[in-house]
Amino acid sequence: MSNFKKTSSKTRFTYVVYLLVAIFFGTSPFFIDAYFLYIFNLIGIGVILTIGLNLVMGYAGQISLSHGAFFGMGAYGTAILVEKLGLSFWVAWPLGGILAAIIGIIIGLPALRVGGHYLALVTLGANEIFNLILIHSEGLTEGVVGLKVARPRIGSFAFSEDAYFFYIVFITCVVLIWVANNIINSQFGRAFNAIRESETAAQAIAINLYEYKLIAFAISAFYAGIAGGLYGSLIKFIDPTNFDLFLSIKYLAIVIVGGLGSIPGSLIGAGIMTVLPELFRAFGDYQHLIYGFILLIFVIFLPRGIIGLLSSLRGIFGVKLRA
Amino acid sequence: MEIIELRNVSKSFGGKVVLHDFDLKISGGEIRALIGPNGAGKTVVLNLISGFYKADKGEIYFNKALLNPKMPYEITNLGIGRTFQKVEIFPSMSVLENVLAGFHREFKSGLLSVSLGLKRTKEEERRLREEGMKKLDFVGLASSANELATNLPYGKLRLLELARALSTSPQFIMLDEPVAGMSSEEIENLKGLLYQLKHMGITILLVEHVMRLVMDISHCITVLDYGEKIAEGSPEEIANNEKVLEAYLGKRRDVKSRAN
Repeated sequence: MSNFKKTSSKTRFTYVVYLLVAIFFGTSPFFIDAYFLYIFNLIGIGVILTIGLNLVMGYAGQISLSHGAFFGMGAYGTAILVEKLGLSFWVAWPLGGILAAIIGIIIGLPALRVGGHYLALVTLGANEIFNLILIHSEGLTEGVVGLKVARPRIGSFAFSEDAYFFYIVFITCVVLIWVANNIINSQFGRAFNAIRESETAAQAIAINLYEYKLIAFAISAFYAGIAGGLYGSLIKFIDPTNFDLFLSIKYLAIVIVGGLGSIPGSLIGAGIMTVLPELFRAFGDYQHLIYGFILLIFVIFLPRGIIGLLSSLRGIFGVKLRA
Repeated sequence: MEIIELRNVSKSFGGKVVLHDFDLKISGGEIRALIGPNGAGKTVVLNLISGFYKADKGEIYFNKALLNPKMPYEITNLGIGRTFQKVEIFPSMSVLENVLAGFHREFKSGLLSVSLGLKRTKEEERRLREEGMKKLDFVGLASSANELATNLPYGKLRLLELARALSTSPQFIMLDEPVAGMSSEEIENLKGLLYQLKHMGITILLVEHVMRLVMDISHCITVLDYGEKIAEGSPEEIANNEKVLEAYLGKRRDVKSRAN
């Protein structure tokens, strides 16, 4: 049918952009130095977390300030399963993601009965409680002292170099972007959009609001958990301050800066917002202030984020950038 | 046999009674109109049947099964579709996606199968897209399938909402002022669609102010005023009913014309 043409050229353009980005990052260990490789690892992990948060915020329209906890659950879950129970990273890591999804459901069960500001408050509280649990369960987490985390290995090969580790991050990123695209282009994605745009109409087409909000929350927490497992292994040492409320707020800002409800937006957002603090490292704690300032600017002047700005400039490309 | 039955249903908001001991029986295959002046409680009846409001008192039956403790999504799942007085579409989705969202009952693929893009999910998606185009074709919106819903003019939004409601495969559909804001050609077009729905065996409850449509199309008309049923009968009976004329036009009966 002729009216499908527009869609396919749009998708083709998106695929070409994805492919170019993938080729650049996939080959990057061959031409960048160790410092940038470390940053690229952080970007990849940030992308996974951002896409997860965007699924629940940008698509299902439910705010979450407990993604720091889900990220932490993945990191600590993976680390504890490896260090204390002697499981292989390759088993522990997906389990860490599943544990994060379970925590997501546990927090979501009461939290998703309320909406808007209340949901923000409940999830904020949940993040703080999780952090306190990390600090006080010394038997498992070593409390404020923190946990050492080993890099994964296959047989005798250890992913000790950041360049090797980068390929784990990179492949995970590609797979999870593909999965996220599959979800948002399915009935699940339509149901999430429906809930965000009109809860009334969503119910009138037989969508169980509570069930689908929980599903979105669980998927989102799983993404955060998978990102967390990688993060712990990348930095080799985790303590509760890595997973505090500031992390939740930082990623909320990243989702908004990139563009709510856009996967390419999440890539751009995570990229820019991972590089920026490196540039502002000299400012120390004032970094938080910079994040706050950027968030304010975007909320007031560019509520659709960078991706929204790009699609307003689409005359230049002749194609609309929205996946 | 009645497809819908309301027995002694009452509803009040903060002490103000909006529906009082209301009875309603609609038989399968019927086109029923529910009319009455503004604020008579017509939309309240729709919201009670579809579960958005909980009745204070009384029972609501659909195919002899009790509806009233159920949630709106469960009621849709049983086969009751509806549209809204103030159009409720999904503005950022395309016209086709709006209709596809309506196929929620049909959609069987699980999250894992969707995530991994398995073949049967893709097959299902393709089949639903074809079905969706058929629904759009039915209401005459096939040529706008890929437009953003928010770009449609008002009359077409109402048709889109109807198409989406039909995607839930209802046995019984409730339309809340479906022709409000439509031109007379658009009204004629919708009238044709409603006749076709009736032929497909779908029972219709129509809340409408446009008397020309109501008088032409309905088998039976129920009239509400201040939350009470004041009359029920064929279009001719209602057109000549004293109480109805009074409710619409006031007490002095020097107006002999039909109530519009």
